[in-house]
Amino acid sequence: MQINKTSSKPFYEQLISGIKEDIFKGILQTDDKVPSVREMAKIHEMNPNTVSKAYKVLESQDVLVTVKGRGTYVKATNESDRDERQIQKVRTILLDTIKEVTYLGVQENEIHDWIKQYFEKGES
Amino acid sequence: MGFEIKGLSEKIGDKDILKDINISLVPGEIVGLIGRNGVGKTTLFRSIAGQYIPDTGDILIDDQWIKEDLTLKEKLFYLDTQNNFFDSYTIDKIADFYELAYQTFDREKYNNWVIEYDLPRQTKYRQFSKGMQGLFNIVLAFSTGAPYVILDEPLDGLDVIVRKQVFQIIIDAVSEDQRGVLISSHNLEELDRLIDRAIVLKGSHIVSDYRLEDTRSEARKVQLVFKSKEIPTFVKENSRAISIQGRVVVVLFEHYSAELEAQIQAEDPALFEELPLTLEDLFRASISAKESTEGEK
Amino acid sequence: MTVNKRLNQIVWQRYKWFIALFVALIVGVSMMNTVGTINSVKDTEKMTTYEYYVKQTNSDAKESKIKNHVSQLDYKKYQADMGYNDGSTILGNAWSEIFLLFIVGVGLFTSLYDLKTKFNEFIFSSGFSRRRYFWKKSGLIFITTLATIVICMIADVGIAKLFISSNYFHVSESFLVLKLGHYIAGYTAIYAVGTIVGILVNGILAATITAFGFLGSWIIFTGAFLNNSMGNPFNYASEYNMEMMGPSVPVQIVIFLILAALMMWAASYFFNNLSLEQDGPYLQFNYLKKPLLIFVTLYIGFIIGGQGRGYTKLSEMIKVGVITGIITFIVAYIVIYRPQNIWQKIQNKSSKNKS
Repeated sequence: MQINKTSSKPFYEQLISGIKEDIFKGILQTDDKVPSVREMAKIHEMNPNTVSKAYKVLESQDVLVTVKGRGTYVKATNESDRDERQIQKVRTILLDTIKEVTYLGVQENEIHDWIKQYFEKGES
Repeated sequence: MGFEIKGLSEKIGDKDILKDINISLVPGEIVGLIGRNGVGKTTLFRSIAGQYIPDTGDILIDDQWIKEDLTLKEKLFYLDTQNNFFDSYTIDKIADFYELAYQTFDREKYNNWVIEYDLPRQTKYRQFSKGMQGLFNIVLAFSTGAPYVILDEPLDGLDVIVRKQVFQIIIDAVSEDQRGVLISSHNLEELDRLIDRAIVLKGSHIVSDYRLEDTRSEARKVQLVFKSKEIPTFVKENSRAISIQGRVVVVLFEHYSAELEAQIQAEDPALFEELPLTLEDLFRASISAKESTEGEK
Repeated sequence: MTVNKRLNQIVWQRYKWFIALFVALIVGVSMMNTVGTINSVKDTEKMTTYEYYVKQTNSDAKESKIKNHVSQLDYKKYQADMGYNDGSTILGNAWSEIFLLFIVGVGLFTSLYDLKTKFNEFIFSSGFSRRRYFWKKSGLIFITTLATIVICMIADVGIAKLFISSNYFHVSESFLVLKLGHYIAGYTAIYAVGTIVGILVNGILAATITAFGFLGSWIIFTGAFLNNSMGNPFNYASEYNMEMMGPSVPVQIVIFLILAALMMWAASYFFNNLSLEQDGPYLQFNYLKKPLLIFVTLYIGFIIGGQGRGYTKLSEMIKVGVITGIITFIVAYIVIYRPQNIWQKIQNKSSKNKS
């Protein structure tokens, strides 16, 4: 996972999407232990409170679960647990983005290529 | 709980160096004090530590005034990196002095760090390389067990490896021992991810106090080119200028909103682009805002 | 550990080697002096015996045709002529000038060492009371120094009694005790001068010159007003002199101790209020500039003018005093205020007026 210093996104949001991405790509799997707040902060030389904030958000979204005294783990993803509201929200954002790029003159197959590339190589 | 500076002012000669400074710090928090050279960061630290006697103001530690109970200062660590007695002593001798000054001094922790970082015990401090001195200063700071630690330019002149080690010690101390750290640095890029809050000091005052993650979600840095030569008034009112080059303006909206975006769109700008927001931008913006108000006088 | 114990440890850790050095120096100088004195007395003994002296005086009397017989020659006069009348010169030589300078130096060191090596920064940042540190430090350094001196003095007298014939050295116990008290009080006052000058004056050279200048003038001052022989309060040729001039020794001891207490109290007050940002010229405390200038002018004028170097008329004394005062004022003004600062201020003002 990379934290981009020059991104306009807050670091905790980057951390959230980074962990989600790692789970999606299979780097992190269900019941895997994620680094503790302290370790994660040290890896990215980041404020521990920022990490802790990201973990809290991820816990509230049922992505991670913290077992007291043991650590934080990736929670099992259940199809029925899908947060439909969240998905709808992200879908709207995605569609808006597509509108924008088509307005800028990007062709449909180009967009398809991007998506393909992302799933194949993980390049964003 | 917490460490608070209340209404601190300091004059040197006839010059106001610091005026009515209020800063608070809670355990587990890292606060960055940023400001240009000569703005009084070190003077502030020395006044807090008691090396200078401030004209007004006092320090409150865990809800008690230092003036009333001097022993509270054992809860505060400040090392003057320019003026200290270390040069002619070995690090263990220096640690002896600090162990006597801080009852909470953790000798075991200190020894472990000295071994871990391979700090020479028989060599005098002045013969240490700059990196080793910097590392030792941090080791000392967090060995004292003081819950509030002030670090003046702790990363200055350190190489990448030592800087990494310093970061690790600070992060450990904050996350594990809930230390509150007040840190000054002119290297804003390095502070950017490390600190919770950034306090900007300019012209003897505090001009801004940002909670960085909140600010990042609320604020936007945008690059704009308007068709007219004039910058629209709503932009001037709601933003702070970072740079203006011809018609290309880069501004910071501290509280960005959908309405503002709509207003900008309504102006039909030739360029409207969001840019990554760094600590440096916040710093520049708060400084330029101050300058413009001074210009109005 | 209690605060007191921790502070004791800090002071001890910091100063043990210096204290060892001071003790070694005192013992060394004192021993060298004792040996020197005994040797010179032994040499004199060989050359000049009492019998020889009687013979010599009689023949002198015969030559000058004065009827002066040995029988009329009193023992006291003999001792006075020999210069070893009551042993006080033996002490006086050893314990006056060198140790006077030494003690001032120790006082200056007590204040300046921590300032210049930035140990004050550590103490001021710590939870220790500054006053407490000041007293602990001064106490440890001065008491060990003084105790060494006293022990050496007693040893000195003891050795003199043992090795020098009572013809040359015989003093009463009460005289020795009084003299010892006189030294202790005097040294304490001198140490206090060094300590307070070291706190008030910024810079090793400036402080040293100030301390010695003040001390020199002070000796003249006490010489004139707390009168005793040769204007030096640390050199009493005989009991006779002490009885004749100025306040008695016990009164002097009290005066010295009061002065020392006042100066040490003031030094602790200033140390407690010392702000380390003043890298200013000469003085550490800006608000003392004016009082110091006034004090120095009056003090030097008074001493030089009022010292009465043979002036019998009051008008003459005043004239000298005023002239000295004016010269002192100018010199002190330059030293305390540093004229380039004033010159800059004048320039700034004139440039402000123009704009």
